[in-house]
Amino acid sequence: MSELYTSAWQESIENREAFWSRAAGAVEWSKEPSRAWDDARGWFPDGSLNTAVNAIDRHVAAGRGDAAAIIYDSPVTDTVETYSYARLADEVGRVAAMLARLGVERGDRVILYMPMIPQTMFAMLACARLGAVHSVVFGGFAAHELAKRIDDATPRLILTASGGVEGSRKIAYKPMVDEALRTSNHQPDHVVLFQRDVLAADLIAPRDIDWAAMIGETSADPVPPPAEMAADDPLYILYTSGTTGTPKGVVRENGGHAVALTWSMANIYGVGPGDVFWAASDVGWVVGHSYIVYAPLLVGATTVLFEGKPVGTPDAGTFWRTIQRHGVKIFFTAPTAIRAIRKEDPSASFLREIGIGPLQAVFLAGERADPDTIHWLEEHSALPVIDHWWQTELGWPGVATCHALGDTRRRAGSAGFPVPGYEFAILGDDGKELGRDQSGFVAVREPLPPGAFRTLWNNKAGWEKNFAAFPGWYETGDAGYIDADGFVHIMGRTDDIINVAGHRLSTGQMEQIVAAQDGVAECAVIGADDAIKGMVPIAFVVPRAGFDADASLPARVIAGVRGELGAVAALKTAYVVGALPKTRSGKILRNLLRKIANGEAWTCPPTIDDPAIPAGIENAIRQSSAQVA
Amino acid sequence: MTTDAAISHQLTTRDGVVLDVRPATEADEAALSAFFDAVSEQDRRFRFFAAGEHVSHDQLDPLIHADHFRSESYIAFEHTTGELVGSGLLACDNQLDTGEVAVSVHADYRGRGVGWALLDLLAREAERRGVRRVISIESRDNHAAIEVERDKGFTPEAFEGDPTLVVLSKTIR
Repeated sequence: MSELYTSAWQESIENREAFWSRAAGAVEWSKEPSRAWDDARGWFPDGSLNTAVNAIDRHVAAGRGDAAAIIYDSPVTDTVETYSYARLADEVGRVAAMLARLGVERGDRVILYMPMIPQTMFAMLACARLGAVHSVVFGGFAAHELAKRIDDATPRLILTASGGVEGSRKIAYKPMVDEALRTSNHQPDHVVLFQRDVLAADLIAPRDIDWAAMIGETSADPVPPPAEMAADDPLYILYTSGTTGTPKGVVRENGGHAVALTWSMANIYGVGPGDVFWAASDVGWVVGHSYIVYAPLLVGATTVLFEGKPVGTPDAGTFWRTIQRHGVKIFFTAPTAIRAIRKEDPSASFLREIGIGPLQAVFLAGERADPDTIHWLEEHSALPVIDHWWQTELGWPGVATCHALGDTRRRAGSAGFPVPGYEFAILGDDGKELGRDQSGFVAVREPLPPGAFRTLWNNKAGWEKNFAAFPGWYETGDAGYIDADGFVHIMGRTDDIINVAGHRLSTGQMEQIVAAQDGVAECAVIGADDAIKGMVPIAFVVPRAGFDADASLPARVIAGVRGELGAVAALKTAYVVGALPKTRSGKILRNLLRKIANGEAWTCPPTIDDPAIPAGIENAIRQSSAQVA
Repeated sequence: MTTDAAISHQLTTRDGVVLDVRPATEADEAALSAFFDAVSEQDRRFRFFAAGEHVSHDQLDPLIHADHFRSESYIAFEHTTGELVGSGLLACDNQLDTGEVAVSVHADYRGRGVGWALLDLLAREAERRGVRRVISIESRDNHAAIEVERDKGFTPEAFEGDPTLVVLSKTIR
């Protein structure tokens, strides 16, 4: 059943030009590319196109203006709205006219700090139409993180909304924007704010502009024509956690992005015109960019924009209800969401009662899917549950079972096989390829396929670093192995990045914040296992002399991280300990801390400086748990 | 063999950088603290397996309180400017069987042979003390250090209990 996949993969590696040139034929170009790859300019070097035209205008022109483009389903505001492609064209045109009036031009950056509402999608697509580069910042990030992104991207405008709804809580966005702009060096021309019914925000004239009023004021302005973008012109910048406090601005190019996403919808997910596709993620993450906004629209499908949570909005049946109600064909979510549903509804009674309509498969990504969670969902849905793996840097899946190519092979614990376009290898410390079943660095041979990053914003050197360790290879930062049957197993990061509920976070960044708190002599933040979120960060803090009796230290550490990084940090536990386990040269034995925090069996490594310390850590955890209990 | 703690060395790296090297003392704390601020963020993380932006008093302690028997901490100054550009620590177990080494280099002096020269010095010191084996514990991501140590005859092996680390060791007697 896997011949189609095998031949596609082989062709993509052995005859890259033909494979990707053919894939490029599915995209509407202003100027067709004459070749697929160029060493200097990357993918489709002499082609030009407009991504928004491909996502909207071409479907309207093809007579599909009445087809549903976006279904906005918001259980938190009790709203369900459908936008046809024709209406989407109109809405995006109005936002583009507003942005143009405010001086946004091709190449300008626009930061979006917005919740899961249709206006966010209109604005992203309006930027794409104008050739402006959008940078969406996830609403869970606090002011300090927003400020860093403002200073790096130097946007002409910031687009925001009065707030977001996170389950039962309303989160005001405007104070975050105000605070970020108070501390950032760069100042945009304006902040354009969309007032939501759920929450009102104050505007500070003349900097702040009311979105609805501005749309009204520019209602007679012509819709700006789409900018003709070179294939390697940037479409967007999306910041992701690096191992240090400085976020990395992954730059996505127009051409490769449109080709790769279009190919992926047809060949991985099996979604085309008329199909309903739902990626239950947030537009602030790469999954949201690729599979809520761009990919479904590029292929003329219907995308679901869901403003809710897997549980509590209003119950653990909300996913199945949304799938049933809108006739979702393919559903994509994170394992953590399924674990949260399972915890509330272990017997899947909601699923049985509500049903799953025409749903054909569930795709999981964002973190490693544990076999238990996959088996639970497969048993109750009787559908294929397909784990797959990718990164912000790549922009689309690198490892998957290509469902739409008829491949049915799956192995719980593995994310599947290399997707066509990707040649994987497991490398040893010396950069040599390891054999089957041997663990090492997961690497992808250069060049990366269309859609993958070709630079970091303002940081070409940072991009080059990913290719420096093993010449000819992209180092993914993950460890893993390929088994005897060719399944790729991704085991976890080799650096200090952890995955919390599918969100990529840097423990190093948290550690920097903790270390800077008053009274902290030393600290370590590690990722411990968590039954729902996959992993959660835990801080170990050694107090400075004189702060030993400061009972407020753990709370201050947690508040410090939340204040600087935002709610996304999810740091809820900080233990005060007498000392950290270290080697004789003073290197912290981080994995030993992780094992102790997990309650796993551990042994004292012979390289430890003070063998009494691990037991002290265990005691501190036990005492702290006793206090909580 | 004399009271070696007092001995200073002059080393010339393969790139021609002349270094004045001497054991660090308590009086060097401020200088070492400033030095680690000038080590790249990533190298600092590779040195301490901690990500703080400044190296704390507690972290510096072993570097300024070497006992000159089981442990020795060297600091290297560029000869003409007198700038502190490198730190190298040798820390042995109680039996003087295994000595762990750790080296840091000023960001502006990376790739100029400073780490290489300090590693040689630490290995010689270990040998003089009769240590059987020198080891270095590195993050698997620290390709630069792993490469230098392999060139110096260290052999990498897995670090038991932590797949993100590698132990590089060299038997000297």
